[in-house]
Amino acid sequence: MGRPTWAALALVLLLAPTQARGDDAARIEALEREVAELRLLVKDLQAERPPTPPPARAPMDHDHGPAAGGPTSGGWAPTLAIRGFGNVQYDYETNPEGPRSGSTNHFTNGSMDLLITSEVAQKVGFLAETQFEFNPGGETTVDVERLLVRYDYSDALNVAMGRGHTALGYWNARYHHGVWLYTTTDRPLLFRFEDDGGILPVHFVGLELGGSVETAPGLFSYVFNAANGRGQITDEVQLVEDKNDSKMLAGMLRFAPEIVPGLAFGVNALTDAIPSIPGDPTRAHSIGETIAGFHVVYTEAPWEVLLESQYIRHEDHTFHRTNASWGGYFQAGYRIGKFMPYYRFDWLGIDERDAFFAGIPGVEDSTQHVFGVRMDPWTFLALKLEYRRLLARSADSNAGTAQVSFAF
Amino acid sequence: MVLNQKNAVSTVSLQQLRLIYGAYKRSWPDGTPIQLLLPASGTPAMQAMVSRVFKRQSEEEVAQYYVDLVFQQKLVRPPAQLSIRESLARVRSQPGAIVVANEGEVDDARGLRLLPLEGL
Repeated sequence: MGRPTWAALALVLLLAPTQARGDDAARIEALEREVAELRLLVKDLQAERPPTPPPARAPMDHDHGPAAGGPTSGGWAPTLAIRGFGNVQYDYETNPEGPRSGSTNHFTNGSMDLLITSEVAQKVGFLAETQFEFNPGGETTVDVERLLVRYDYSDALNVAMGRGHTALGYWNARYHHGVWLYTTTDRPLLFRFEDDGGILPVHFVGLELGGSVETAPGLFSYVFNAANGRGQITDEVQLVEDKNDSKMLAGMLRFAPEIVPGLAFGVNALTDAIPSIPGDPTRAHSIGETIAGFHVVYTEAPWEVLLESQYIRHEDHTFHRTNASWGGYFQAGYRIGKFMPYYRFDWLGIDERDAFFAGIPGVEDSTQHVFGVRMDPWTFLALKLEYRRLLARSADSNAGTAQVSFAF
Repeated sequence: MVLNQKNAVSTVSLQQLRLIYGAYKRSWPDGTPIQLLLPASGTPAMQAMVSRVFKRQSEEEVAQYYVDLVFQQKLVRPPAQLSIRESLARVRSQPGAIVVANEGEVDDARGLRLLPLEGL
């Protein structure tokens, strides 16, 4: 081996570590990327293995994959998510004989709401909301409040079938049984549930079409329902039958202008035929029902401002007359850190001649002032303190509620 | 903003990003379902999302917001919140995935489409 050869070998040995360091860095980077991808793969595979231990996760997951075990179809495994809401509270009432009370001051085991959502297939979703209600007599009832299968054809069109919220204004679409979601402790008088003196058909059983279309001035959204109509009384949601052939038709349009984020306007309309009650001379014939309403909301943090009203027209074919009732609310809140003080004004104007609303406790001309504050000490637990002043045709009352509500 | 390389979208405005993360827009123009990913908690990208996209005051409010969307059946579950490395791996493997990242966080753009986002 000559002198040049030795020199070349020495040069190679001298440069080799530098080259190796560069190769190592590239290899480490590639390996790190590969490890990250493999970690995701392992998570996905673990998610397919039943049963998996319940994750101790906040409702905003840090990761998820196709959950649920069992056989897959075409590589698709349904995902399943279970959430819930609950509330407990203490109610104070100065007038236990008032139209909306009937009880002394008391603790209330509010309610527990289980929400199950699943992706049955790509673009096909399922939702079931089951409510456990604790009644004054001590018994517990279980109600399936929503059960919907939905197909998302596109952003502009989705189709759902089952039981859900009727397209009746803002509150009914935005809120339902999860009290934690409300700013206030309770629903507006106008949107009380059918079994709680409510005057609106807030649930439907049937079809729903919905979607949203993005345009230059803003976002247009719509929802239409074709469903079983009202039953013979306000509290009768016709789950598995319909007492007449006519179907309830409802629709809602909403526009959210791009220029003012958080602002939205909406209008809604509903038509139905309420069946007669054989043997009841005041309900010998059907009642034609028309509902029309509007809402204006501004929900850009820290503000929450809601204004909504519904007009209810009943064409009574027994007495050949028209009855008109209406109601609404205005609610405003302003978030300051973890606190949101709020105020709401409710009103109901009930036509006393309306045979459909006759005899329902609390369904009378009323106004109500609601003052309160919501505190969010933890992300998924809220404390609310509220005072209500109800001025009703039959009696006035003052009431207070201290409520703990949570999501889990 | 980081998309899969196969995603043909060339621009996304801040308003469109709000619609996407608000679940009003749930599929890309070619019909591919959008898969939302959120930046890791506490990162500058997540803080920018909280204030500019969600218009909220804290990540807690964003978490509450997503529970609300699940309740309204707009989403089956809230978006996954992953580290930037995990997010990029997810975006590479899933054509409909989207995540917002700060400039400089993406050191390897292979398999990705990077789009600037004005106003964020």
